[in-house]
Amino acid sequence: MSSSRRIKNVSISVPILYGNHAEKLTDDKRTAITPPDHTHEWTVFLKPVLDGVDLTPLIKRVTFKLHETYDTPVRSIESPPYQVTETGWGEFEIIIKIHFHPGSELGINEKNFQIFHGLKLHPFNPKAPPRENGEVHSVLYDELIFQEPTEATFEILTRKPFNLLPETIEDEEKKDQEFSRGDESDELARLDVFIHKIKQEIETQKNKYQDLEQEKIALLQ
Amino acid sequence: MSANDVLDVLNIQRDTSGQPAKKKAKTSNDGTTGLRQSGMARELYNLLGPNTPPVNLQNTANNTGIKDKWKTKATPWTLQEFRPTAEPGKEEGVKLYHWVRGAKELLQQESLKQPYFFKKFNTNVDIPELVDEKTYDKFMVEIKEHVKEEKKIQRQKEKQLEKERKAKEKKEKQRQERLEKEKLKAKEAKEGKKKEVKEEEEEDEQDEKEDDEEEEDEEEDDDDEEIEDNEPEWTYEETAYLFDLCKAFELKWHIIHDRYHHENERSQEDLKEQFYRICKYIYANDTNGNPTLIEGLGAFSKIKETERKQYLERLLRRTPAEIAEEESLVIEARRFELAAKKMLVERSNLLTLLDYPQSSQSVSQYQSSQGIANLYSNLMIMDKNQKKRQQSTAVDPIPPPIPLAASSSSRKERSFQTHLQQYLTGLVKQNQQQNGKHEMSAVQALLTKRLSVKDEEAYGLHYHNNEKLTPGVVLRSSQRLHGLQQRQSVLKSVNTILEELDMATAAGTSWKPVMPTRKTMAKYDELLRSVITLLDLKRGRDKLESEIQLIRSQKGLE
Repeated sequence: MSSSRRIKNVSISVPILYGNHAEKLTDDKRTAITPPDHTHEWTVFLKPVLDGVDLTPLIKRVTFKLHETYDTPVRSIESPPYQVTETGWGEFEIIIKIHFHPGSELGINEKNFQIFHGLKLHPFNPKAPPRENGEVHSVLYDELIFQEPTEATFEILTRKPFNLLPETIEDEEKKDQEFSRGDESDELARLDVFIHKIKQEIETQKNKYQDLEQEKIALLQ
Repeated sequence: MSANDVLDVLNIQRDTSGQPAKKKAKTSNDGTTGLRQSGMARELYNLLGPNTPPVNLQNTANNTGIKDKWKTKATPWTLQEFRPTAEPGKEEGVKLYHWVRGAKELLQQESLKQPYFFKKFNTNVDIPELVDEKTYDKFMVEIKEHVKEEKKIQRQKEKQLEKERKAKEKKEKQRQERLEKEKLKAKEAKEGKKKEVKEEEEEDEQDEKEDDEEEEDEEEDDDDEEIEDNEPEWTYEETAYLFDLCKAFELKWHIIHDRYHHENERSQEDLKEQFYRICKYIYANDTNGNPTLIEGLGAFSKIKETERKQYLERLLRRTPAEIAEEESLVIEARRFELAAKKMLVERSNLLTLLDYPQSSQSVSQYQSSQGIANLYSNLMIMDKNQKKRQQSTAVDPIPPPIPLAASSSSRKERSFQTHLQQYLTGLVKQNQQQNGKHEMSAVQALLTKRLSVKDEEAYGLHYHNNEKLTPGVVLRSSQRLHGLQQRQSVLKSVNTILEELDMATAAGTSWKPVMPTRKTMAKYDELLRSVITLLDLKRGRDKLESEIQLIRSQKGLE
């Protein structure tokens, strides 16, 4: 089969979410092996935005590289949900590595891919008020773009429409954990405003520049 | 590079005793500084030391500058009339002029002595004068008879072919009828034989009658055709008109046909035919006519010419698809030929292998050492023979290369298509080859189907027209933006500017869309670009401001 052939001039994207949830470590959750200085329990994860999306035909496993002070800092997750729950006291950068299925007979033929996520245990967004229960959610939206995918990859990614995001999110609690088409249009509007402002600024700067130019000419004469 | 540099490089301490020597060198060189030094010579000269005077680069020896040229007088040029005919009385139409070097008087004198320079380019096509009306009529009669004869011959040929065909058909028919009759015979054997004989005779008679009728029909057809073929006859006056045009436009047929305004509508081929055949007769009746020329004139065939043009027309009107199909067929055919040749080679190789001695005999005779030696020598002889034969007969057939025209034009064609289209056509072809075995796979189906924008969005699919993609996985948020360099610094300045303009940026290092989708990233790209232009503008303004300040301070000082 020619399934490992790449499809030219086509890219296909899969929206994903990655990040972490964190909450304060309460006493009843502590076990005998929990170090006493750990203050938070957190979960780092990577998942497709839509629940029904199955990426196992593509992804062999996902590894999370934690801080070296942890036991076996590289945690390998073979099947979804791709997530690691740990306790700790400090923030650090976690390397999330996606391993695609190797082997030429499968024809996926993609290199492993790394995403960096800075673990958040404390409220980080000054605009969003910290939750009362001390939960922290640092969820990031992104899209995996397969540029010039192989036919096999393409076939897997077109089994279902993976990009059908919901228009809005009903659950108020989850506003900062999920993303919708509405968010996208908000963002677009915001960007439009920015661009408009910049354009205006360009106009004023241009005028000033022209004024200065004339001043210079007047001075030289 | 000076001597100092060299000494530095070589790490040599300069001692004071060297200086007087240099002075000497300097004085000795003074006399030659007038000479121009360049290239290697100058480099060497520079090596003498720091105190040597600068090389005098001005060349004062020969002062042939532009100034001298200014003083010389310009050569005179005269505007002269262009005289293609060189006959003073016959000038008409456009008058053209051209420049000639030299004074007017001088040129006039020269023109009397020498023939006009451009006269040799004024040539005429050799067209025979048209004969008088009587001989013309005679020609026309001959031509008509000739045409009739030719037509008759042709028709007879056609008839013969037709007859042969019909005869064949008839034989076939009769055979079939006979077969049927035999069957009938077997059935009617009980009823008696006399009846059958009668029937057979009757049928034969009927056949003959039919034949006669058919022949009569054909003759009638011939008469009809002759009437249809007749085109408006060529009168003497029209032919004379044609000859005039031919002379005027020097046998440029397209122009002649374009300017041909006569009561009879005639095609270009009609004109050519009439002109050539009349010319032929004129030359034939001339005593010193060139026989090869006459033969050449007779070679023109109107039917073939029109056919040729039709073919060309059809060739031109082919659609790209048809052209592509033809080319693919040619290539296919080539492939078949190659395969056949390859098979022949393989077969011949196989045959030579089969020629080797067969070991049907028992092995026992080769078990002694002498036996083996015998076998060995036998095989050697066989092998030599084989080689000789191969060298003499079987020169490996070289596969003919695929015609250049086909491959190159297909390449051209290909450049018009996008890569995607190429890919699709490739897929379709592949499918055709495996026809029937596979249904179209889902990938191909999806690709060939025209997706709506909404569908594309739902699948996250995007067709990149002319961008270069590096195959592999990327994150949308870190996707490389086209044409943006120095990203880090740009991002920083974007951030500062956004803050300056009081736009809400999330606390953090570099601001980016929270939800990086294809749309938002495109917008983000636009934002970055406009920020860059803004930055450039600001930089320009700052520069101007400082310049103005400088000027002001200068003026203040003055």
